[in-house]
Amino acid sequence: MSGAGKSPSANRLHGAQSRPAGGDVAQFLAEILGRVPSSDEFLNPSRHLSAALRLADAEARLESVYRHYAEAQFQSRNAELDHMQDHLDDLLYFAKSPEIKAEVRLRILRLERASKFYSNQAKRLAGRYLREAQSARDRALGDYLDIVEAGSSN
Amino acid sequence: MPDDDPTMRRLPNPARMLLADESATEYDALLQEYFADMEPVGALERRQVELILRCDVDIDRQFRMIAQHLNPLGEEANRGAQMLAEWYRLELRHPDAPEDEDAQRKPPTLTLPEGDARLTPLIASRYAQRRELIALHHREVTFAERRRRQAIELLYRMQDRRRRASSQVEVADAEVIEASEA
Repeated sequence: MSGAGKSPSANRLHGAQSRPAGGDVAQFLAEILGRVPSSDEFLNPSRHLSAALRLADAEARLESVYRHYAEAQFQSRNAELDHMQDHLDDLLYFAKSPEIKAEVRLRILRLERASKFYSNQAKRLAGRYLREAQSARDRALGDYLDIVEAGSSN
Repeated sequence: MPDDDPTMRRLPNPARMLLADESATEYDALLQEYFADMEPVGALERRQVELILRCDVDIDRQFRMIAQHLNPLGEEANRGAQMLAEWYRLELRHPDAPEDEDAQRKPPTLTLPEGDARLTPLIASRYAQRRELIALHHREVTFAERRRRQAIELLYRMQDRRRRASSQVEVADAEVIEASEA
């Protein structure tokens, strides 16, 4: 099973809602500005640097969300519920009572439906997060370009 | 603004967001073609072109997913039913059945004939089993197409701004020349 042994905290750290890695933001910032800003510039950032920083943050977040989105597209099941289904499958072979076996069979089939439902929900959520991250990035880009244009016309 | 080196630094590294059945080399080759077509200048425009390409990758990916879900020889959708079928098979197996019975039961590998209309009922049946999932992928295609349109529009706006800014500089330079001649 693909999700077996994965801790819940790992999911939180790598989920679509996690903060982008600082290194990614710094790389995007260098790419946007064409140079690595000095640490002094961050103490009293100019409007240009602030806008570039917001854009870099939005770009790094978009990347992180996009990775999550791409992974979610190929998952058609919920890993945690599949793990529970595996436990029930074991119980089916080791339980002695026919009543318990009948209940286990019923629950295996119920989990089947739940696994697909939550997997589809995860896909929908990943799509929504991507659209939000894309909009935030486009806004940040628009703001940055406005500031660059205003700076060059002054 | 950043330098305009055409060998773009890999940000993001495509290997980080492509899936196992997608090739980073093909992605890079496509990206170069997009660069040649759209002629981006500077890191921001190149990034915008990459986002357009990514929407196309997404659309292609969603259609591949739909085709896979509708493949009549694809993996069985119902894992729980398979578990129960296996349990019933073992429960009902004769105690004296040979150990290698499982190996004998393995079905032969099948290949699908291309364009065979007799597969339509099987495909329709797969569609009925997975219609919610397929509808979801179709929805993602629609969203990816919308993102693509917006990304192209934004790229054109950026290029227009750049051209306007450069033409203003040219006009300003021309005035300076005229003034010095006078």
